[in-house]
Amino acid sequence: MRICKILLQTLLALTAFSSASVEAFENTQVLPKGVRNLNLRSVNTEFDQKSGPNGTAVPLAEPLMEDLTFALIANGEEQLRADQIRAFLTTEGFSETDSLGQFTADVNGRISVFAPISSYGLTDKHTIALAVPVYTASTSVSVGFQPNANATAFLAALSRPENNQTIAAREAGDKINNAVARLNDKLVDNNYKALQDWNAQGVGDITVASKYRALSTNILGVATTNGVVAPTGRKDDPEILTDIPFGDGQWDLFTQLAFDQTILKGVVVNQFGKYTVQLPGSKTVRALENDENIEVPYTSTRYKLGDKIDAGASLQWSPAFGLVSGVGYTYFRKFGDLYRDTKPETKWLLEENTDQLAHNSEVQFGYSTIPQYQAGTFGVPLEVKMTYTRQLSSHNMPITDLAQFDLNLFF
Amino acid sequence: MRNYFCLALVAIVLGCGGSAERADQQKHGKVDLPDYRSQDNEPLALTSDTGDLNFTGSLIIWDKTVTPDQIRRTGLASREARLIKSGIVKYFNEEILPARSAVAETKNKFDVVAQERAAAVRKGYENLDLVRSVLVPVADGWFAKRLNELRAAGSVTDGDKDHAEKMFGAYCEMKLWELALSPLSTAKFMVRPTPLALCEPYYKEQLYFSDAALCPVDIPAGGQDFFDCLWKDGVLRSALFVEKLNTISCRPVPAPTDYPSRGEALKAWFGNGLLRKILADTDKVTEQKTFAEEFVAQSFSGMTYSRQLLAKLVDGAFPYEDLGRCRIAMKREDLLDGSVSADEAWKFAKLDDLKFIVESTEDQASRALLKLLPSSGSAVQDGQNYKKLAWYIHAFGERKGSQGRTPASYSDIKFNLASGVILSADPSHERTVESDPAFAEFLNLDEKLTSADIKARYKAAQLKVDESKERLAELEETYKVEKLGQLFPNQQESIKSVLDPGAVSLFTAFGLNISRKNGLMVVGLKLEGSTTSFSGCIAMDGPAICPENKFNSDITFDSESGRLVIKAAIDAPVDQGLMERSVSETSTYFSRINPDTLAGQTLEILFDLNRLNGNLEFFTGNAYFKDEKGTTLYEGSHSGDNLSQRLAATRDK
Repeated sequence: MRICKILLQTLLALTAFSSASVEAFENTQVLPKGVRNLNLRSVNTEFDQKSGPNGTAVPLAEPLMEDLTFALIANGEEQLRADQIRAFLTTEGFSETDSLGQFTADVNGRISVFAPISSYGLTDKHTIALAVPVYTASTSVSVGFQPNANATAFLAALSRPENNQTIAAREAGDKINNAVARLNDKLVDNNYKALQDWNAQGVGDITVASKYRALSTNILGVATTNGVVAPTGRKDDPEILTDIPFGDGQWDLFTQLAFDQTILKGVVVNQFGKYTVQLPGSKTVRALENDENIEVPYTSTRYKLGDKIDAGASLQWSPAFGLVSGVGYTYFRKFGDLYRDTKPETKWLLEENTDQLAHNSEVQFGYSTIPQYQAGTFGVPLEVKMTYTRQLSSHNMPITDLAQFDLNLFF
Repeated sequence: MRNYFCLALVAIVLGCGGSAERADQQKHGKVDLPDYRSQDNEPLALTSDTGDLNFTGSLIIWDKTVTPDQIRRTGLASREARLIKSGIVKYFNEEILPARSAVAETKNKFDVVAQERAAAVRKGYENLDLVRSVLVPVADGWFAKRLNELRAAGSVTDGDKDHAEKMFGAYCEMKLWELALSPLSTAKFMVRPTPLALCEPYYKEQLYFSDAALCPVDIPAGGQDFFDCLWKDGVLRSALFVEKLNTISCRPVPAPTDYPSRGEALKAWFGNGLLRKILADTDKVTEQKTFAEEFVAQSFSGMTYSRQLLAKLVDGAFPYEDLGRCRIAMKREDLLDGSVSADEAWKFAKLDDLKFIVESTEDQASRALLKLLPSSGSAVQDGQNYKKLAWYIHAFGERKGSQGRTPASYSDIKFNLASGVILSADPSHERTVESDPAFAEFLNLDEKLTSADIKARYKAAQLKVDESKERLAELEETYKVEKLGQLFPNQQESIKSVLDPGAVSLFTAFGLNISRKNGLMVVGLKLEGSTTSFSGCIAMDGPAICPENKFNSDITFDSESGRLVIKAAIDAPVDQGLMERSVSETSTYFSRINPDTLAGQTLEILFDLNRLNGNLEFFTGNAYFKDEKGTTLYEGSHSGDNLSQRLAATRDK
């Protein structure tokens, strides 16, 4: 059976969205010296699809929707028994690649992140920040099996009097009729958890960033942001096929450059680019094989996840009465992962479809009391924003829109 | 600050969503599990008291290096064998047996018509004038006529001709004895029976059957007993019995006062066959010792004893005009031990030779007769003519089979028909006779006595018999060539696949006997070449209990699936048939497994019993050699069937 981690590749991409914000509505603004900011960010998303390597949408449960082939059955038997099955298949005109039926599956996921991001203005040009995301995630999975005409024909062939294998046919039929239970048994026998609903809550990777406003004129602003992501989040559990990691397990370094152009009073155009280097790490993985991903041993591997590029542009309008609004576009690119010290077959399978690409559009609405606070008409400087990110297209990414809520408190 | 906390709380609430939407419940499709019963819905082989099932099977233990293709070839050959064998049984049951029944049925119908025809013929034979008008002219002088033809053709010399005529006389003498000793001698006839119609001229010449009182011509309605005629006016006057010259003075008294009782006594000896047995079986005197002691001294033996015994009986049964002379004649040593006649030409003819002609098979008799009919010596081909002559004579005179098992010669049959006794003639004799145009009229006699309607029905019935026989012959040929003929190539393919290098480590045959009676199932398994067998017993139902200490193996049987499992301890591998051996010129069985490695292990064989096409019980399954921990050391497969038992059971049908 070839069932890889259903959500791993998909959701690693989501784990970063909550920390150091990567959204179109960047700006070059920093906190005034001595001012503190607490951004209470909340992000919610639900997903049941992902994009494939060519961009087409496939169900998230697609890895489970495998054909149960004769080859898979034979591979699960001892050598002589497997050879006897192969001999019988040839005699009866079946092919090892013929399917006895298909597993059907549905997987839904939901992630909610609450990320308090604390910032402090060291100088009028330099702000530091700390983001500690807290994840609440859950998945729901249901697996079924639908036998096909081959299954019926196979049992009939076994039980034909001249073949006289009715007992074997009934055993095979029982296995087919309980394919899902047997799959779970097989998972458990191989130290996996059975396929079932999953949920967890915990801290994600913590981000520490430093933002420096290098240029600030009436029409142009330039700022750089550099930071590090610590592997504090829950890593992927290789024994659970439906879990969601809260972190990718290794340190990241990133740098970002942002530009603001004020084209009208309260109207700003922003562009930014960000590059994240994912540092190498090591972990224990399953030594996946082309035809078998469950009954495989563990193996230690060194790896390096692909570096990431984020870029975006936005048009933001913040009139004096406190409205915060904007539209924007973001680009995300992650290069493929690299694994070392594993056999080629495993390496290929681990690295397969790990490069990612996404194009998103965003819209934002909110309200800020800062103008009123600065005018002395409102006592509390705060800002409330709602951002909706719509994925325009993607490769090897979860197909999902994000709803983000930000509450910025200044004190 | 407190306001901030409230706002933070709102943010947290907004940010912490619920669980993922529940995934759509997926369906679990089901396939129907096949029933244990076979496709014709018949119960498996052993779900009822089926009596003894005797299987023969073959067992292979796979080599560790066996490939799927090698397994496929072996399995395919095994499956093909089952289908072929099932086809054989099916063909036998569905084609051969019905055809045999058809032959029997048409033959029965033919027999009915034949009896009707025979009755009509018998009725016709009551017209003795008609019978004689046909039969006598054909037989009368035929031998002399044919000899003359041979002489005219230059096939024989005058000397040969003279010799053959004398030998024919000797043969006719034996035919007289033959009839006189047969059960027919005590039957009633509508006409005086002749030992052989062809011999009538000879008998006439010898004045046999010439006494009108003993051999009447006018026969009463219920038939005439010709026993006295055959004996008094035949045997007792024959050259084999008395000297020719003394025959007249040795004639029995025509009307003895005690004749009825003595005559009946003599008949009684014929009735129980004892006399015939003594006369025919010259080497079994000892067995008759008790009987012989009452009549003769123990010093007599063989034919001499028989002759003496007969003389005693006759002496006691029939008074003679000159008893003293008759006794002398009867006891003449030269008569008893040597030639059968004073005639020099008969010195060649020994009693046993003549008797051999009568009692032996056709071919043997022909050779014996040839010895009596000397060749000219100048032309080898003359022998063919003698042989043909012998055939003709034999066709009339031979008794089918040896030792008179079917005591009817062709001539007997014709007379039997007239006297109301139905016997079958050997068709080959008919053909022999038919080939001589001289007998055409004779053969047409029955036709003359049969109506057109009976003829038509007889012919139609005969045609149906012939057709059904022809059909049966065709089917049996197909059975032999097309059905049984498939076995050998299949066997060769099986052996070839087994002998393929790296496929099999052990190949042997075995017999499996399953007996299910009285609530017990007793199983016996014997490997080829073994001196001991594995046996087990299990109580199936009722209060039956397997006898203790009688079996050496554990067996289990699942009546629903038909799986029989035998677990046997291997304590003497070689004795149990697991010896190491190689393929030889006489055997394809082999084993490359060291028997020492099997000692102390367990042989576990799973038999999945089934029935194919409702006609062939068979089994397939796996076999394992396991160690004491249950770990499989070797694994194999087996198959077998009870075709032999099946065919043996149907062979007699």
